[in-house]
Amino acid sequence: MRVFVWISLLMSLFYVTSCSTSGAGNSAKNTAPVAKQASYDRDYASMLSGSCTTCHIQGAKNTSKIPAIHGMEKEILFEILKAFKYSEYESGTMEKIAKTFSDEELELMSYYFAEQK
Amino acid sequence: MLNRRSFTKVAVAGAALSMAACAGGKMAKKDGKTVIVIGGGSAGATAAKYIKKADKSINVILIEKNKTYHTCFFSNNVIGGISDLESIEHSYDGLMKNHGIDVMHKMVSKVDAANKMVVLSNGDKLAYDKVVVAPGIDFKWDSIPGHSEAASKNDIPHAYIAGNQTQILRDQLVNMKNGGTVVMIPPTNPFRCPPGPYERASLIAHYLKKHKPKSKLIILDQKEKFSKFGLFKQGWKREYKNVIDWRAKSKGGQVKHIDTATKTIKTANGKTIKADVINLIPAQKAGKLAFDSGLTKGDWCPINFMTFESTLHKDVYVVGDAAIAKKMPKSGFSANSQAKILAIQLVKSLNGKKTMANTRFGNTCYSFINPDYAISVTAAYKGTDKQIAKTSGGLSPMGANATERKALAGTAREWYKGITSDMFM
Ligand SMILES: Cc1cc2nc3c(=O)[nH]c(=O)nc-3n(C[C@H](O)[C@H](O)[C@H](O)COP(=O)(O)OP(=O)(O)OC[C@H]3O[C@@H](n4cnc5c(N)ncnc54)[C@H](O)[C@@H]3O)c2cc1C
Repeated sequence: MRVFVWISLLMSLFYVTSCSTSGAGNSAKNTAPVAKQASYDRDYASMLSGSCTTCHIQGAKNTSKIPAIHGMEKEILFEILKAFKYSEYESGTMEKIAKTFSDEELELMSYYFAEQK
Repeated sequence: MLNRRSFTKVAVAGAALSMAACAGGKMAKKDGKTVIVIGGGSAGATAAKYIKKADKSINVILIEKNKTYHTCFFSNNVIGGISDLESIEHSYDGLMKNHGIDVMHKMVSKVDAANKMVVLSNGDKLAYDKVVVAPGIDFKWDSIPGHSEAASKNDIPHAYIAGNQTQILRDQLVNMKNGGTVVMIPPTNPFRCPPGPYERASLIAHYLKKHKPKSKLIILDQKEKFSKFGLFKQGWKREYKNVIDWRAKSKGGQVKHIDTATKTIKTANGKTIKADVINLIPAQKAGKLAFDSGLTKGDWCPINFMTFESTLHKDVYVVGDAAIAKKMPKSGFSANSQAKILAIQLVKSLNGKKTMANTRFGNTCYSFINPDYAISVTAAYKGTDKQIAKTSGGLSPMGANATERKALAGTAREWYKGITSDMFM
């Protein structure tokens, strides 16, 4: 169950940051990955993302049991995906899916979805 | 309402966006490459959308015989009276308006791979650079002696291609007396949606328990075991102990003969069962179009596991239930997942680029025991030369409590919105 606590915490962080309008508070977080982001393998990430987009709708409301991941902040999505991957709790859908990907692949997907508004 | 003739003109006019006018039955290509996708189901609708998304310069034509699509997924909810047929009906407007895909509602006779032409049932031919064949399944009508395609039309519905058939089975259940006997005959492997018959059994039992409590449901299985076996058996014991009577093939399940007129079934162990409603799901094979186009080996279509190109014909791709995509189950989720990879590979190949050497797929099948009780199986897959290999996965836990089972049912409903949006919006 612990992973859920962790994930909900990360999710709430995402919604807080994504709602804040003043960029100042987030700038430190946002600048770090940018350089890397420009050069990541978008093609490969797009292929990987096919496993996500069956369930996660672009532009979905966040009230859904299947949360919106398009446009999510990269670092937060990456942390969530890793939390699923390394979770010992294997009962949900995401734990099973996330285990198949390397950390690098999870990061690539996080870059990819961060770009999709 | 348009008549057939004027509709043909409209359809051709629509296709003229990407094609020059019809000349002597053959259509000459305009600039830009043309990809024709046949079959607007989970596989075909997704493929058309993602091919266009990958390269807007490609003329993508989707040819589907029906005006609207009824998803098989969630059709068991209709049969169980939880939702109506309209709730599983989808239009192709989104693919046309949002993505600029030419959708033609036509019946395709065959793919003429040697001449790179799609032949319509009216004789018209459409030229393609690449074609995607996604016709879904067809039935082996003789899989149970005494059964026939004619009998399936009104009397013994299969309800395994959603739409009219779904409603027929629903109506038969509604019209059945309290105290009636429903018999379900699931097929041998492989067939579309391995947990499908058993989810259906659950939701029929849910209906009977609530509205016709003296009735029972006998499942005469042509197999010894089935998908999510433990989870279903646990759910049935909890919810439908006095309703569902499942019989394995070797324990009275095997059917020797069916008399479709009197709805009388003879089993291999010498028993005679008189039913009020029978849902016979015949054994399955690839859609007829695949056979008529020379794309099959045995009952299904062999493909390159990395690209989905047919191993029998160049520039012809097969995806979804019709394809041999071992080890993925034949499901809507699998078909959708495969179609997205196919789109990447097809567009790369069309544009003279190297196809991807690494491909990934996913599948989750949710099944309802009742509207507040769902179970699931999930797996991730990776394309290899020899198969689409499973890399991780598992079942929802046997120990899930009522809250968790209800939460999963909610997730299943959200999943439905997700996949239908990914296919059609
Ligand atoms: C009761 C039931 C429950 C299910 N539940 C689930 C579920 O919960 N989750 C899940 O993932 N999957 C589920 N499935 C499985 C899923 O429906 C199929 O695996 C999926 O539809 C396969 O997609 P497809 O594109 O290969 O075939 P289809 O979706 O059948 O599409 C084929 C299309 O091709 C068209 N076509 C065929 N021949 C021609 C022709 N010659 N010319 C023009 N058009 C043609 C057809 O009209 C059809 O629209 C279920 C199936 C059933 C029966």
